[in-house]
Amino acid sequence: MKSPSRRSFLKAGTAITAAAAGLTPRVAQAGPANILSPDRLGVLVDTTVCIGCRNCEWACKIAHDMPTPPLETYEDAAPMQEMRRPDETALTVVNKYDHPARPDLPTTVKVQCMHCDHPACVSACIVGAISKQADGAVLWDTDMCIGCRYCMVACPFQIPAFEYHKAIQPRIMKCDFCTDRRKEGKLPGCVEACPVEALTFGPREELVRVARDKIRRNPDRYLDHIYGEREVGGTSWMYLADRKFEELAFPKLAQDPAPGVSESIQHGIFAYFVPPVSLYALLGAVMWTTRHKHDDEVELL
Amino acid sequence: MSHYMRPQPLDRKFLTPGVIVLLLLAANGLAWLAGRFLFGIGAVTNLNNQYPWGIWIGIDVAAGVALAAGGFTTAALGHVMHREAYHVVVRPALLTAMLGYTMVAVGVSIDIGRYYYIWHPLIMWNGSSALFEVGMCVMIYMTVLYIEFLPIVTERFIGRVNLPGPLAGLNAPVDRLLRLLDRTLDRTMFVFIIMGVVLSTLHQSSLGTLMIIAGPKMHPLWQTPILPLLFLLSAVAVGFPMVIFESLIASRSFGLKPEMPVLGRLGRMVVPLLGIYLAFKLGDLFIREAFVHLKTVTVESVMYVVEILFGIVVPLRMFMTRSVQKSPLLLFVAAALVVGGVLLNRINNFVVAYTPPYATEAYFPSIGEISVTVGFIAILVLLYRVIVLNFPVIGLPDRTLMPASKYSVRG
Amino acid sequence: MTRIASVGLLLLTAGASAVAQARPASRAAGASLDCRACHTSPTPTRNNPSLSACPRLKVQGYHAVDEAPPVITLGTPGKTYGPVKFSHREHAHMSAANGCSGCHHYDQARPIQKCKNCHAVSRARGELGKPDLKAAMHRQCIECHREWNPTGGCSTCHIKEGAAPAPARKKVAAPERIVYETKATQGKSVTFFHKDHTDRFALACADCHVQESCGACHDRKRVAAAQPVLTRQTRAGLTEDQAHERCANCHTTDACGTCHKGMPSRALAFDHGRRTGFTLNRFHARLDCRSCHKGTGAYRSLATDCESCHKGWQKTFDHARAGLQLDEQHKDFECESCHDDKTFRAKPVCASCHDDKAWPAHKPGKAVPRAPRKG
Repeated sequence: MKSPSRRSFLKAGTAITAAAAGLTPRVAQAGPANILSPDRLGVLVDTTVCIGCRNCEWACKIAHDMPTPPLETYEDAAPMQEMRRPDETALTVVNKYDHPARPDLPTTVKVQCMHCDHPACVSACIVGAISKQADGAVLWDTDMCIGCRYCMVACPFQIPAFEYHKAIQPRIMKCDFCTDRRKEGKLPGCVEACPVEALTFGPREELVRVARDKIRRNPDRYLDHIYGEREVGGTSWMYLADRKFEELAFPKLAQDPAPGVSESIQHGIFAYFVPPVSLYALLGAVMWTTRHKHDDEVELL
Repeated sequence: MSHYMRPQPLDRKFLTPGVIVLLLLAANGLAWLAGRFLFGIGAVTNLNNQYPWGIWIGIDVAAGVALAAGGFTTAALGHVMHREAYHVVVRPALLTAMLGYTMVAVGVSIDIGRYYYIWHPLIMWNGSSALFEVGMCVMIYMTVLYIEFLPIVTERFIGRVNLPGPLAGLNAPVDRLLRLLDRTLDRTMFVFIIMGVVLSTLHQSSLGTLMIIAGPKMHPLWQTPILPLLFLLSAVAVGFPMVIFESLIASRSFGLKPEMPVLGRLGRMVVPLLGIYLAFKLGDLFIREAFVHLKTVTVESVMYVVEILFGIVVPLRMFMTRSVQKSPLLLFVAAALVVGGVLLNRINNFVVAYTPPYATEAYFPSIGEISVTVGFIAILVLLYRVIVLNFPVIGLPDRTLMPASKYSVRG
Repeated sequence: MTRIASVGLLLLTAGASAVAQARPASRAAGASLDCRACHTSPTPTRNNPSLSACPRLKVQGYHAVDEAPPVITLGTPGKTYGPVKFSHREHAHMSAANGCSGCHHYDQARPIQKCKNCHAVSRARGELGKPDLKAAMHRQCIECHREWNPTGGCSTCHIKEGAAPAPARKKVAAPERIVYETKATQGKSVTFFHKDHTDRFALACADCHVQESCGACHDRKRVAAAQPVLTRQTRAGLTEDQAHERCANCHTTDACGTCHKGMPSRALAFDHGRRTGFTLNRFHARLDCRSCHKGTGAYRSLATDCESCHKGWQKTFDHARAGLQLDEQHKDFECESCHDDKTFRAKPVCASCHDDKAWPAHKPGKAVPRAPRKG
């Protein structure tokens, strides 16, 4: 609705530059159009089952051809002493949080891109290099990205990382839901590696059902809250826990899609392109009516 | 008075002690910049995965756009509303805007990781992205600014084309081309002038929309859905103070008499503009009940109070005073406070207010970042000097037109 | 020919009906099951059985623990980790494992089901409500192993080819004594002399520690800290009666002061025979504990032969006091010639000398009335 009129204006506006270059604008497929399929996939993370073995961290690196020490070294829990975040060298990390009732057995939480249903990064990306796929994945396109890092500003989960130390072709690094592996019929690396299946991979709607069922059956074991079911309009990755998610360093987020306010402002300013054109007309009118006026107020000052 | 003022190239020496300092600052900035291109952004800046944007965006881009607002506000005043008296400040403001936007464009392209893809937004469009809108508007507006500046170039060269050596034969055709360009521009300039004002209104506001998507990552003192409006209002409010600021510095630097009558009137016009901005800013603060965050002393609350108090309230009171409107020094201080306030506002919005949930350490710009930003500003000032020395930008009293007595009476 | 065929047909029919009868019979074993234990819908169909995820019913299997296979090798998971030699029977014996049903949680009183009958072998599958085989097994093992050894890694179970097996559990360091803080208003703390109890009464850990987490003991740090177990028990939801039961099994007393210092105390009703294996005879039963267990402090166990207390008694012993006047032939023998147990409780042995005589038909003397006790 807003796109055609706005784009046609911008097309006219950029005629000087774009047309001169002989290039046909390629409108991003990443637009806010609702491409959410009812069969879209997701992962349910049960933090009450996770044992903090960090096999997922290793599997992720293997799946993405990133350098990694051998699997045995991940048995060392020392790196979990401090809070880590996914970065350009590790697309997923496991953090631990002391459990009030069991000092020896902390809660461990895997962190990675949540693959939002209404991703702020997709809405923000200046060139539409990030897109929401019908299968649920939020993917980044290296051929389009200009490295502006607006996605990092926008992401409510502070997930995208950037290769700050590369002078040429630095990349935005984040979980890609193992799209390549899934094309080969495999599971995402982390899901396959998890020894206790704390990560359950499947259709999102099915996972919500499974999660509800778990909570219903074990009301003592779980907090009645599926994190990601509704946060920022829903995410593909969802979490179960036995205590408040804020205690596990999950951001407390509203249920409105993250890009909502920003997009409605953008669309408001450009609604059918009436506001800018009206302003143009108004200024034109003022210019016309005052054209013979020669003011000499300054002289009178 | 402007009837007797005619813009002309200034006849001054280029090199002065101040210029040498500026040259050194510029060289230093360029050296750090070379590091960025050779070893990546991480080698020169303190940016990281927690703080993706620093002062290169906050100052070079956001503040750069805001402080170039003199261009469209004076264009609206002088050209759209035909307040001819102000024409004397239109050209310097236009030059400032043109240089400012050039810095914005360069600033953006060094900050993005893949500067060689800077043209991507031209052909890859994402209509929902505020940044896309800012990018497009800035690109178009910059083109418009260059077009608006063209008459100054034609004016400089028409009748004076003097190509060296073997190209001398082309002098006449080039001159004819310039005259044609001048005539065409004369007839179509109004299109570009209005376009410039509209584009400025659009992207000054969308610059505010930029941070809205950061949502709870932005401190509630600044995060508000009316950010675009606040950005537009502040840009409008800072336009004239920036012209005053820059004009007074130029007068001082080139040893000219300050255009006090024009500047004083501009100062008076700042009052309602700044007042409206203040009203919206405070109204927003109270409607959202964000003032509770001012109760505790934090970096954010202090910066907010400084921004409001010294950036808006104090200069607003000053501009309302007649003696300030007549005193170059006080006028300069008031203008500088507004300029500083808006500069601080942009830094606050893009850097101070940005509080990511998992930040392990605070961001403070590195020496490299500061050097590059300072270097850019130095280059800007140098370019300004080069251009006013060679092109008819600054209005000088034209002795052939001006009755000396009248000038001296008003002086 | 026809006759043979008809007999054959008859046999076939009989066989078939026997099979047909056998099936419903085997179903009848589970007839008491509630359908909704497995089906979410009251009308499940073949195509849509609407199976619910595992309900984790705790049911009692009917297998004796000793029927369990002693060791099961659980398949090799990959290059990095070796297969698991799972000491299945040993685990079944563990009190914490709660018998078969501790792990075989969906064993509806029928022959024990294999894990993979319910848990899919492949992780990529349609039914996501319950974990796949690998995850189900890991969860069963890790839940306990992690609790008692939080730092233990994969190699605790996955022993690589040729590598020495890691110690499955840490040695238990039994505490000297434990002070229980109770909720009693008087005599709040109860000192329990743990080591004395285990040493003197030769108790195995599991004699008292039943249904407890392995980690409660198999970790030096915890035991050394000697946290009051009772508060842990009461925290674990034990009632006061249940908490008392532990001690009251032996201390058949209702005098609080026996354990709670500062409360009224009565003589101990201590079942000496049951707890120590040395039943007090009527003479010993009249004595004060300290007559034999000399000194102060904890009661130490004593040797059970008479000589250890009654030094040199044999030299002056008049056998008639025991109700038998020894005849001339037997009078001068050593006691041990006939009494070959040190406590003189077993019947005397005649067979060491006589082939044809046996107590009590033949007596080495004349029965006399027992001497009345002195004092």
